[in-house]
Amino acid sequence: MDVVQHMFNYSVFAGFVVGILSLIAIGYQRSDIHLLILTDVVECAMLVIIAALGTDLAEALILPGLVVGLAEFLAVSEILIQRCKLRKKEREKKTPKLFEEFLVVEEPKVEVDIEHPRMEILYSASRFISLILVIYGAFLTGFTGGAVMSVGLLFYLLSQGIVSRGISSEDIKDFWEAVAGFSGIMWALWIILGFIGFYLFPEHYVTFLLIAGGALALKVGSKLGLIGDLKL
Amino acid sequence: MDIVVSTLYLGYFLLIFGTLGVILGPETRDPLVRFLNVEIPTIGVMLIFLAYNHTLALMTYIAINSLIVLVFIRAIIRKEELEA
Repeated sequence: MDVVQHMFNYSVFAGFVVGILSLIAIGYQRSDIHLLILTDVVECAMLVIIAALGTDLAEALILPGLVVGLAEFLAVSEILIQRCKLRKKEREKKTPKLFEEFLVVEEPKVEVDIEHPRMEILYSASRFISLILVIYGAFLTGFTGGAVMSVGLLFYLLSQGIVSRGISSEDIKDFWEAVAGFSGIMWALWIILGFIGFYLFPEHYVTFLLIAGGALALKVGSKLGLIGDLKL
Repeated sequence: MDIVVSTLYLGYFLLIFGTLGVILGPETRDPLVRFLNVEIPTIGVMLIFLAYNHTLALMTYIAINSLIVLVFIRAIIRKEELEA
C-alpha cells in the first residue's frame, strides 16, 4: 500500500488541527515567554504539513526550515531578554556571554590524583576511532558524510580536552580561524565550481558531481567540527 | 494493520493530544512545565517523519531539538532572574 498517497489528507488535516489550535491559544496568551513556547508548537504543525508530501522535496524543504527555526528562536529569546532588561533599567557592567548558564562556574576538585597518562587507551583509542569516522565520512560524501566526519573531529577534540594535552587556547584560536577559512573555500567549491559546472558543461556532469559532493562533505565536516573546541 | 500506518496514527495521536496538553494541560502557568509539555507533540512529529522515511530530516530534527531546549531553558532562567 502506498502510504504517502493514502495518508496525505490525514497528515494535512492533523497539521491544520494542531496549527489552528495553537494559533487560537496564542491569541489568548499575554505572557511573552508563553507566546514563544506556543510558536514552537506551530512549527511542529508546519513540519507535519510539509512532511505529508513524502518525497525528497519535502526533506529538502524541512532541513532549511529547521535551521531557520532555530535561529529565529535564538534571536527572539534574546530580544525578549534584552527588552526585559531595558524595562528594569538595570545597567549591568559585564555583557553576559551566550549560554553562560550552562558553563561550569568552578572546576570540581578531585582529591585523588588520577594519572591519566598511564591509561594508554585514552591516547590511542580516541585517535583510532576519530580516524575511522573521518575516513568513513569521506567515503560517504554529501551531507551525511559531513555529519559523520564532524563527529570524528568533535570526538578527537573533546577527547584531547579530557586528556588536557597539546591544545592551548592560542592553538584553538588559530585552529578556529583556519578551519573557518577552509570551510569557506569548500563552500565556494561546492556552489561555484560544482553547481555552475553542471549548467555550463553538462557533458562532464560526473566530475562536477564529485567536486560538489566532496566539497559539501568537507564543508559540513569542518564547520560542525568547530563545536568541539567550545569548552576545552 | 501495517506497522507503518500504525506508527503514523500514533504520531497523529501524540501530536494532537500533546498540543491539547500544551494549551489546556495542568500547571501551564509555569513556563518550564509548559515547555516540557512541548516534548510530546515533538515526539509525534518524529514518529511521522519516521513513517514517511525522512531519515535526514529526522536526524536533523533530533539535533535541532536538543539545541532548542538549551535556548528555551536559557530564556526561561533569564526571565525568572529579571522578574524576581
